[in-house]
Amino acid sequence: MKMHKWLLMLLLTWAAAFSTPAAAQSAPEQMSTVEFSSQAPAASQPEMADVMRQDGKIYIVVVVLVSVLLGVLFYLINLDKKIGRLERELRQ
Amino acid sequence: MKLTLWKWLTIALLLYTVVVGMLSEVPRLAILNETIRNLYFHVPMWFGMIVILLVSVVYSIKYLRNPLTRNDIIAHEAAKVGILFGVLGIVTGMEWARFTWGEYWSNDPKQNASAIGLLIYFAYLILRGSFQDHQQRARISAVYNIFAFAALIPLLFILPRLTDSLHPGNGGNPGFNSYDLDSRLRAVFYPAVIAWTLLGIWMVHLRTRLEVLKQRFYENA
Repeated sequence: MKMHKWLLMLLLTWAAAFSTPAAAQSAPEQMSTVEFSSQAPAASQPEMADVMRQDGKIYIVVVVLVSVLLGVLFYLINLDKKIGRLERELRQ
Repeated sequence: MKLTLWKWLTIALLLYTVVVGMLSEVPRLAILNETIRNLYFHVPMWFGMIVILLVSVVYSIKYLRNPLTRNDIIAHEAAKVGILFGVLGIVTGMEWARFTWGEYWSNDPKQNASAIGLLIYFAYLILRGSFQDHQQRARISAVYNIFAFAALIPLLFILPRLTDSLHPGNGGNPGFNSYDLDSRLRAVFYPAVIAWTLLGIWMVHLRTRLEVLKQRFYENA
């Protein structure tokens, strides 16, 4: 059924939105262990995917907002299609 | 997905508003701080409301000139979506005001005037609900809708400017001048206004089609 596809899409959006904050939460612990174990200069620090944690984690807010917006828009598109289908049915 | 161009445009502009609106550089202002970004979400609610209510009043006039049920349906659905945008505008405004002006409601002339404007439109919905006869309902509420819109414009755009208001661009000043809105804000603000307005029109479009379907269904049944 088509409903399954939409549910899958929603689940994927949800997963995408929630996996990033989880990664952000685990990040400070790792950072602190690096700081305490070795006094290495910043240049030799292990490389991390820090893009989503920059600027006070504003990117997480953007991801969440985009998820909500996409969810609402998918709902609207779905409703649009359903009404279109009804219109075609009634015309016949 | 098969969608018309303007619906794709709506989606693209909304995503642009959220992403660029959150990440772009904005002027560093005292008190406002980062809340200046509310300009992309609070103000477009009012712009959207005005455009959608204008659609409503245009279809009310069209109904009076040519009494088709479709004209009445569009006027009614547009008024409802316009009211939704107005309520969202008031709520977002109160949230913003709490942290910049200090109070949710500080009896600012523009706050009071917009509340009165919304009450006038709530009365439109009540008026509609109080008729049994379809034609009578459509005709009288169309006339009322014209008066409601004619009252809303001075309430929002003229009366608050005659006194001192906490809102920018009031108390004798023009709305948007070079001091209020710099080019970085404009680059997101104008697309945001178009995006939210188009979203509202999309909602009106859907609700109208649904209502037309419903009416045709009952005619056939």
